[in-house]
Amino acid sequence: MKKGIFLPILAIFTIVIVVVIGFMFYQNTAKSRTEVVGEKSAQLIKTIINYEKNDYYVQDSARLAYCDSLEDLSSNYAISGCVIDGYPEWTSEINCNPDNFDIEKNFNNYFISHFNNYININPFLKGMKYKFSLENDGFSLSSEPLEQEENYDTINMNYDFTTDFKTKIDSNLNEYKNLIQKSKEYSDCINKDTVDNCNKKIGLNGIKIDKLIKFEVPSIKNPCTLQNINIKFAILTS
Amino acid sequence: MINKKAQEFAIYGVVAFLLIIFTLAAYWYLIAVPYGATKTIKQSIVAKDKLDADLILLNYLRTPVTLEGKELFISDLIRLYFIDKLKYENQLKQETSDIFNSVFNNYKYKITFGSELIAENGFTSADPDYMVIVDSILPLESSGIVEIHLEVNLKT
Repeated sequence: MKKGIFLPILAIFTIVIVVVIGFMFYQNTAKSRTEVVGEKSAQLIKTIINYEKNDYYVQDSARLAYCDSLEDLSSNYAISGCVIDGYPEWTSEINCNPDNFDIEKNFNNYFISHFNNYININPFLKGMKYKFSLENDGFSLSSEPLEQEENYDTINMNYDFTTDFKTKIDSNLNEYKNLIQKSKEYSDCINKDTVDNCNKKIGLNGIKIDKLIKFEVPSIKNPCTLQNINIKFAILTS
Repeated sequence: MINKKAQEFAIYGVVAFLLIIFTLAAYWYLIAVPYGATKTIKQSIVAKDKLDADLILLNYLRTPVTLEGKELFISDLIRLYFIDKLKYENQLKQETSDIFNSVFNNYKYKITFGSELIAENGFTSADPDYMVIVDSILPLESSGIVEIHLEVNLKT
């Protein structure tokens, strides 16, 4: 080997080796990180899905409250003080005349009570204010904005929850109104004829106990339980 | 004289050589590794799957079913199940299996109402990274609720 060559060659080799070792070190120790790509978008979508879940919960609760109210009405369709032996008394006299029973107001009161119970179970919807109204073929419900806050790791969201929908339901209050008409016909009939004959003529199945004729008419099907709702009432005979 | 010059040259050479080594080492330690590009980025698809499962659970509840000639929803069938388990158990379990088997044909899932198992397809728990768990609440008669719990194992 030529004099003076050894040292530069050693230097070059050493530099090459250091570069190679450095690169291998870099390869082995380079950090691996997990990134959640589009996290904010995902959280925004999650909020929308939560919104939908709550909207469905409200609709579901409203249908249930409607069914519960139909059930309540079936055994409480009476003017205050007009209940005999647990049966609402229906007569043509003014004080116990079912025509004077404000069916919609009473139904609304039952509905509000049941619906509030359902939505108050859901912490997200607790205290929601709303308007409920009966329609010919069901009901409608619309809520006032309910302020919501959802906090995630990378984004906080504030928004108003509102719901506004109409639901069609087969069973409605017209069934009660039809039954009142039939009870009037029955009252007229019973003044002239026997219970058996009136049952046949009017199509109701009254059971006479002393001066009281009791009825339990399965004219409505509960749309939630698919069971018949027996509407209870009684007619007092002279 | 020549030897002295050669000695000086060798000393400077060694110093320069050490400086190069030091600079390279400093570069790798202080710049290349800490600020260099990452070797791998593992993108999370779990977020997407969780969203899907949330939506699938909601859609399951509002799937129409025919009951005694009436068109109702799965949520109604669930309520009826809690009123009369004997009568509605078979239909509920069948409808639930049909829906989830068609949606999760590659994944193992388990759906429970409260602590009651309603449907599953050979489900076993897996690494949390591969598990998606979503819940929903459903109102029941008389102001009650039932918690619906869906677990999906994304490891095929």
